[in-house]
Amino acid sequence: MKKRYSVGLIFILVFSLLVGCSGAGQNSDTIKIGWFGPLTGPTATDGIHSRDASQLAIDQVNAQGGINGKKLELIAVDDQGKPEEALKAVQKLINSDRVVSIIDGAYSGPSKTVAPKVQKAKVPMVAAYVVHPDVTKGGDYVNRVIYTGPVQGKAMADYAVNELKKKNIAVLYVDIDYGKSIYGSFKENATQMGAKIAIERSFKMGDKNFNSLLTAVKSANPDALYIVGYYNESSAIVKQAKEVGLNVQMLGVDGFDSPKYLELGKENTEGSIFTTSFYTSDEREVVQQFVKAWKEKHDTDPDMLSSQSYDAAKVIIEALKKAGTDREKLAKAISETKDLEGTSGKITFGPNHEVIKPVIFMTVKDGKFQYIKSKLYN
Amino acid sequence: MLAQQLLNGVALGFTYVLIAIGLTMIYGVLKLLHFAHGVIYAVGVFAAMIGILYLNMNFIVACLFAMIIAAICGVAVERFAYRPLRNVHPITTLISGVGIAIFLESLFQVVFSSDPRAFPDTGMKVSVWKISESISITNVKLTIIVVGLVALVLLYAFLRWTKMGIAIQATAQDMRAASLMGVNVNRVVAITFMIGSAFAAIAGVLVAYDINSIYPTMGSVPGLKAFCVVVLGGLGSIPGTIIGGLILGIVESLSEGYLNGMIIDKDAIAFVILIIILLVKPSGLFGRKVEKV
Repeated sequence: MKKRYSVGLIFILVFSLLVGCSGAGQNSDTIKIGWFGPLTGPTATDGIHSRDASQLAIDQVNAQGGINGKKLELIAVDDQGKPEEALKAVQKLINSDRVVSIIDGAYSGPSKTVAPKVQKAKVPMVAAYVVHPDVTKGGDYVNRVIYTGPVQGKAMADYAVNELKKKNIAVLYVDIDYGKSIYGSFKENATQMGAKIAIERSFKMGDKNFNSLLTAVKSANPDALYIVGYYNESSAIVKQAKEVGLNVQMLGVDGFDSPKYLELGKENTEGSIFTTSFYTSDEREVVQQFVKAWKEKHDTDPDMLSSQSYDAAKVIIEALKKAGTDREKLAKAISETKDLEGTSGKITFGPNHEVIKPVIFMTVKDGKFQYIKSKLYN
Repeated sequence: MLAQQLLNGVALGFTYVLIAIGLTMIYGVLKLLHFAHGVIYAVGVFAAMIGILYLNMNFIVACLFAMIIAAICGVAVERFAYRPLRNVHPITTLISGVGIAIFLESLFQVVFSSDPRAFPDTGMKVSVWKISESISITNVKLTIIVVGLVALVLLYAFLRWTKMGIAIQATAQDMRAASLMGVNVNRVVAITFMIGSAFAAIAGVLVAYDINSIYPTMGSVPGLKAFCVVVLGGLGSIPGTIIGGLILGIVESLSEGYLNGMIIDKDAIAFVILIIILLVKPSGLFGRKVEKV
């Protein structure tokens, strides 16, 4: 058995070597840009939107004749939402597809795993919507077009305590890096500003039944509930909160920002307030053009992470125009991006490779997302 | 809060009971662990969804429709995946069931995509019924409990007072002897699958309506938990399954309500119980002696 196993292993190794070599010859007519993210599995909606948005940005450049006469090509690889698959995906993009740059359309877990490899391979990568702080650390090759989790947590703490005057806030956070990093900074900032955390509980991605958690939250008597999670769980929480009789202000994060939140949560989403980076009614030309182009293709409004992924592609495209396909120069050009008109605000990268742009506060009114205000946090 | 959590637990427990009843009956008759049972639950939910969306059914008709489709599907699984394998090693049949589950789940992912979708609009409103200041229950949860109770009473009456019910009990005791006494064993098995599948389907529809979410893999975790319930109660024992289901629902509800930062996932509690039961009392709370599966 053991012997057969090792023979199989050798076979796989040889095979992957062959596959690896076959992609080696760089096709000189196209510039390849890689993308990875979840195209299957529970988070597939996000991945598919992200890929489509990146593709849209690339199609638009190609329609104008490409860059220096060369067409761009997006190579999308599925990571199934799993770190180990993401690692394989990125290795494929770097070793066999020889992409000049990568768009990270994945969640925190996969992105965090992949980032050191990308830094080591010296391939410039732009993270679209992942918020975990570690992703951009450890080198100059990874930039991010969305602010990190802590910025959102701080923004909501400021808004809840200073504007809404909430004093006793309950928190439910999703038990992954996304939830922990946002909640960590929310707690720190909210308690500094003089509010109390009434109760804090975590939940798992994919949970559907929150009755027991919400019963516990209700008995803590909070004046607001901060939900750090994505739309699937968040819509279930706001719905079930009403059912257990918890009628307090719902606060949320950019994970709320999807038409699915309204669809699944129905009238229970009314009045909830969340932080995000993009809204479709923004009057800037770049946003309106993006919304129009997206609607023509997909019949729906683009969501926040489509906008983020579009911007990530945009950042790479603009840098390619300036610096060409040399990976080192490209990485430098990406890091030097300044005041780029993105769909999610003017994009500038700080020295730590993090974006500097305002946080947007949104609410739900009459079954629609509505803009409240925006504010710059660092 | 304790009373509220107990009530949450009972409602949750009844969904487990409804799923697990089918498993335990099927084990009783065939001595078979029916691993495709969870996917039958999802079949029921998707059938209800199609009924409401495309065939303009109201909620109650859609529930019945889901039960019928799931029953047919259950019988088909038995006919094509289990019956050809009836006299081979039990593991083979078990793997066959796993295969069916994977196939159907993947098929649903291809046809309906893996995105969770909302339960179609039924025109019904979720209302909250207050029992006391701190205890309340929604009409949906109340429906789950009532449907669970009614189903159990009907099942009891069926097994006790009808000819087919007695035939099922006879087959569960000894399949060969029953068949020698003139019981049509294949029909008994088919009826068992029908009843079990219909129960799973109604549980699925009510849960999907309650959580307002439908997705292809929605049956897999409840299906596995139902196994734990069946083992906890004792394989083949219906009263054991009822007690087991309620225990699991209440334990899950209480642990989530009172414990924070558990090392194990709340979905893992069922499996911890399973391991403990297998170590301490392998025959379950109400089981007769168990042969090796």
